[in-house]
Amino acid sequence: MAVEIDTSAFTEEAYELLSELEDSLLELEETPTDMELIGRVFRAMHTIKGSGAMFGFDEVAKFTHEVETVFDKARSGTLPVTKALIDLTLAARDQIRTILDASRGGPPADQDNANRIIAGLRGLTPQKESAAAPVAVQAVAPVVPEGPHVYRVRFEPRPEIFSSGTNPLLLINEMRDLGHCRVIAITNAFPSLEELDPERCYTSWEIFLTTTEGENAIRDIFIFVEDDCTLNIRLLDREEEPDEMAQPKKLGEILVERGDISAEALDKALTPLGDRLVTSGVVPADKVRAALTEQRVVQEQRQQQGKAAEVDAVVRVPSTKLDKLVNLVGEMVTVQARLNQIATQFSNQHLQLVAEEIEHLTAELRDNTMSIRMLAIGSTFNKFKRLVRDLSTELGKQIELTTSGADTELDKTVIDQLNDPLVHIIRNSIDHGIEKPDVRQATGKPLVGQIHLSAVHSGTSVLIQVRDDGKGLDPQLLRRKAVEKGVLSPDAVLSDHEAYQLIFAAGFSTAEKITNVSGRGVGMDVVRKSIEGLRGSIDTQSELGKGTSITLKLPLTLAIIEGLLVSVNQNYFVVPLAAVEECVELAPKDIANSHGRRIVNVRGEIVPFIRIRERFDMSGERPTIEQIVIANVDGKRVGFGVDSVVGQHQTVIKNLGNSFEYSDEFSGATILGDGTVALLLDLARMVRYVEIQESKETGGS
Amino acid sequence: MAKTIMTVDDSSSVRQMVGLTLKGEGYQVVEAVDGKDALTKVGGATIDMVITDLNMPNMDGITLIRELRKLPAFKFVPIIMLTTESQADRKQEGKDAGATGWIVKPFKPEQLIGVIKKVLG
Amino acid sequence: MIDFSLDDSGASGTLLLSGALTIQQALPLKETLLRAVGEVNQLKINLEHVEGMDLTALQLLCAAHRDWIKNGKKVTREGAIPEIVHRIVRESGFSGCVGDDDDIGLWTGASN
Repeated sequence: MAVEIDTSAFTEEAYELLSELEDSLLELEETPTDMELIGRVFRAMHTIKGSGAMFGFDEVAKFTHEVETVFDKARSGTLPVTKALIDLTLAARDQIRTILDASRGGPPADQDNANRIIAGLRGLTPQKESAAAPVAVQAVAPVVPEGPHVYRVRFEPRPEIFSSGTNPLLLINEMRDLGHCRVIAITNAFPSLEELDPERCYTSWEIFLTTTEGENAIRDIFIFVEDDCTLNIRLLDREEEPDEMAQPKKLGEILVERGDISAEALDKALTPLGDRLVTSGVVPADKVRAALTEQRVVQEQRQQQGKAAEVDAVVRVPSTKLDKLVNLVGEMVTVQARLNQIATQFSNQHLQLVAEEIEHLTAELRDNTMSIRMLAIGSTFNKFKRLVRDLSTELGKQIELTTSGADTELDKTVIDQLNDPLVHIIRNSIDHGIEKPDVRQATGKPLVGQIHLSAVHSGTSVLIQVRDDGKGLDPQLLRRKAVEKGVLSPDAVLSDHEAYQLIFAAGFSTAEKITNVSGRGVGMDVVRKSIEGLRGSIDTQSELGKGTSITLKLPLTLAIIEGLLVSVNQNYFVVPLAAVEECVELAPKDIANSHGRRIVNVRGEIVPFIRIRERFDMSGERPTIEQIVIANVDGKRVGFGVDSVVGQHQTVIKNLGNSFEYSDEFSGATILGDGTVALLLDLARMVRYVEIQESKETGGS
Repeated sequence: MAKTIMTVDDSSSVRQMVGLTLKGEGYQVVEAVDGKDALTKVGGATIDMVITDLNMPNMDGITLIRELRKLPAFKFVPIIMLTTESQADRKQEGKDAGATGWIVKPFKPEQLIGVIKKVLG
Repeated sequence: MIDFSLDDSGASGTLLLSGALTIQQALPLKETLLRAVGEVNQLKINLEHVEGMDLTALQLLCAAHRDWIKNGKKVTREGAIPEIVHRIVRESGFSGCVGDDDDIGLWTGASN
């Protein structure tokens, strides 16, 4: 086919398109928001460019490409149609004509003029962006996105498309040549089998294409069916507004933006009673699936881009904004739980599908939000170096502080409230734990005492330990002191381990004399209160003469915890799951065997338990078989008798007011899926109150 | 099973070139010199695709496309028009008659193959 | 080939599809599917020898599948689903519209 290329077909078409372009542009000046006109202008340029390249009019193609690229921004709505844009596009149109004339023997086109037009057009975009940003940013907006980007292609063939011999599936497969495709068929327009005309097309598609090619490469695939389909192509990860870049869009936003659901309908769906996202047909399931895919694809793309970037950009955000976000996520988790419950009740597959997706997304959202609040504990650790240095000098001791796990992350709120308790514990170690150098020498220890501060993750908790190599705790001495001070009844039987925990009892101090460092022994019970306020616990281990270690077990976050939902007389309570060790049944014969004492025999081990029903004077019949939730409370196994164990529950914690009876035996409340309130049990406190009560009762009798 | 493509063109050089290209790709080829000739030959082997010129004596390409679409066996068969006219109205006329797509002459063999793959898979 | 046969009792039937299911067979396919949906409560479907299908076949199977579910028909699969069918379903973005109700594993590729 070595045939001379006939270029007249192109030039004729191009002249025609140019006059059409001129008309459209002048019309557009009158109605600058007319999307159809903008589309016409764009198409005219696209055809000129495409045909120009095919017929060897490289100069036309190259120049038109530049103009088209800028005008594409107007088409996608990121660049307003201004007089300046129209002026420049008209000038560009004249320039294309001059180039065409030159090819037919006219005077040569002025390259400088072409450059001026391009520069002017490019100037329209970056100037606008830098004007919008408060700080001068080096805004060099790439005309075509660099690297791979994601397009959403909506392809809706006309029902009659088969009659043109077109196989839509082939077009979709052709898109795979451009990059990775995720294809979702939208099938909700299918009539019933009876009414379905088998020779018509009822399917439309949403295709998410990750590619390095531009939009025109996609349009070219559909060139034969331009009039046989609706084609909507949108660049998804374009950095339109700086604020929107940070996070991929939420599902709801995507649905609204895509026009699949109105903002009002979304609001309705997000209200606690909004249970009709899919069932009411507001959004067909396919559309939701497409929106979810959109979210995922964009997210993956962002992550890819994130990996490519060498250093993560750091954004400073006021912590109030973060708190607000955490609250909203909390609400979201609550609403999601309701949605789940409703979905189960309705037993509608579509609804369940959405509910599951939302559950998945909410969990991810929660984890992400929580991770934003996570800070490394290292900065807190560093403060203690100074404390140890100053105090040890004051007391004439030589102490070295070592740390490990400084990069362990935990919730900012927890870190903030951890400072004072840690100061108390470390002061106590310096004061009471580490011996003076002469004592240490006499006992064969190194002169320099060691305090080791460590942090480590353990499941959903963080363990922070202060360990010293001081003189250790003497359990006998602790018991004696406790009895002397009335903290412990004289006939109490305590294991050594239980005795160590006495140092946190109110008004307890074993220091021989009061120093100005650890004060009057008010410190340690304050520590205990603070840690329990953080839903944490304290454990003390010691070996006489070798040293003491105090371990704080803290939840990773305060806002949301995993809980075990239990019920008593149709009231719900949440037990922090981290504390739960096992659940056992208590049958009538077990009660008979226990002779009235509240104990349960777990594989030969005797475990005391508290009946929630009795503790809170709740009415109602006890079930024949009670459930005992066995938890670890301050190192002891204690059971809690409930009617039934409902199951694991993700608990968003709301604070309770003080007006509540027993209020300090609850560390908060949470709202369940159906709207009922469940109270979060503060096990440690409850156990302590019961112990006090019992010792009074036994003392009085 | 090899697919069969019918090429309709009054220019023997074009038929020859298209035919060689198609056979090189493993397709069976049925040739016709104009629309009328094509219609007499469609009764034979199953035709999977038609490539037709537009300007032909006896029966032009557009009329052929219209006639083919009336036949049950050709209702949904891809039909590509060969056109030297890149004007929108000519393409449009062909599309309205039922053409699947077009290829603008002159074209390179690989462009032809590209279009066939696009509509035939 | 499109074939639907009732078993002796007349309570169940077998739908046997094979070869290339294209738009040329769309009309007979629809008629057969309607029969299969209408006449029996228990349907066996065999796609083992399908060599290809186009969008028309996908649309019909999808619509028929919805009718089966709506009318509470028990549909089971006979024989394996050929890889080519799975590929076409996957590439076309048909991933099942009614959640877990993919009793024959056509949409989700499950159980195959």
